[in-house]
Amino acid sequence: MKKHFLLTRLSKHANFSLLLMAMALGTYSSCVSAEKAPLRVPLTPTEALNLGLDPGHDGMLFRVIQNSDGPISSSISKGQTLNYSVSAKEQRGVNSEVFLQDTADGRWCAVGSTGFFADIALNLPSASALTSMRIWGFDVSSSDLTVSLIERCTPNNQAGGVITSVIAGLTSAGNAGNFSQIIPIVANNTIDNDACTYTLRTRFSTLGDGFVCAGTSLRLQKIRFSYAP
Amino acid sequence: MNFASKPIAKRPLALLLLLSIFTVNHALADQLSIDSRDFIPFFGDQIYGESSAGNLVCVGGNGGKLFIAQVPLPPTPAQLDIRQLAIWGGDVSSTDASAQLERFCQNEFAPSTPIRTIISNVSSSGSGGNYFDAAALSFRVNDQQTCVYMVVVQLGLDGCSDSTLSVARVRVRYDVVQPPVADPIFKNGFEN
Repeated sequence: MKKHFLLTRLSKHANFSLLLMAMALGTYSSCVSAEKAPLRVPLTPTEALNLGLDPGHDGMLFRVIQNSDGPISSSISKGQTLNYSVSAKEQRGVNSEVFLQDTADGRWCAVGSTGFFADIALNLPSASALTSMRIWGFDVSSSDLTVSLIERCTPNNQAGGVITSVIAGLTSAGNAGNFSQIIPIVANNTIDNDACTYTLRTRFSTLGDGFVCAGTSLRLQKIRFSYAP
Repeated sequence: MNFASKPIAKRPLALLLLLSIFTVNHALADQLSIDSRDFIPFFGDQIYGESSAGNLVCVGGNGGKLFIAQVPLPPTPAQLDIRQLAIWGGDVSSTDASAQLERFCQNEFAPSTPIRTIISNVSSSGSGGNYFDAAALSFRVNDQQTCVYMVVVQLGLDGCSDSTLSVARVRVRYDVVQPPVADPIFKNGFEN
């Protein structure tokens, strides 16, 4: 009888402890989810134009805020990650007015093109989580190139408008020749191949510049994503 | 009699049920989406562009209307059952857009003419704006070493329909068919 009483007391304590643990976990997870909640803001008309997107497609264009204030090394997951590399030679002009050329040293947009955006379609594994994007290129130009990771989603099994989100972007800096830059991706980084597609858009001129391509002095060579499967 | 305490080996129905669970083919559902920006013109001199939504459009009434993209299915030895072909886009045109899933096969080592197989087709209808169409199918893929899978998009029936007709994306859903888990072990156990 005494043994049974003790077991009951123990069980009640255990239940209470479990309740406390559940509450603590709930609070913790809500804090974590609040901290990791993806923050999307609408693109301004200028931002949309600088990405080759139509600002008239109002309400459907967004930019994801990535937390890149801290040191990059601390923002990238330390666990098991895989890499997915894409050659710039995969690029297709955004329209038939973009004239792309390339050598072993990279791919560029020829001077005289009336379009200066090029896209690469990405084939990333479903449900994987992107952790970073790194680009390699060549820049001896007064202009810079920008590479943007773009997600385009539709309603899953019904007709509906395309919601475009810029997940991450990198712009070459300086003009010292070969360059490599990285950006951590921590928000809105889970690949959903059921509802969305993922493409890389490169702009071969400085944001805000006129409709010019920088030519051979500004080249894209490779893009690499790190992701957790 | 305590039924629960009876050894499972003495309960043939339960044993059969258990074995059937182990020997059934387990399938893992997956999918891939092909963005409109992945499609390339069928012919080199085709004029194309993007709609305000960023979808693929052809330009010029008499221009080319066909675009093609490879479907990057998982390679051999993965066996797949393709379950669905779906298309999204915009249609305020009197004509329609379509996407056709096709397979091109050749001999594994010898020269040969590619053999084309049309697997499925989806299309827009009407002119109500954003559209979606999907076709359910069951098509086994186990020939990735000899075949390539492509999606051909057609924007308009007669000629290019300009920005009134666009494709946003095409999705292929499939099951990855995994080999039976315990079939050889159990079979050998019974046969021996």
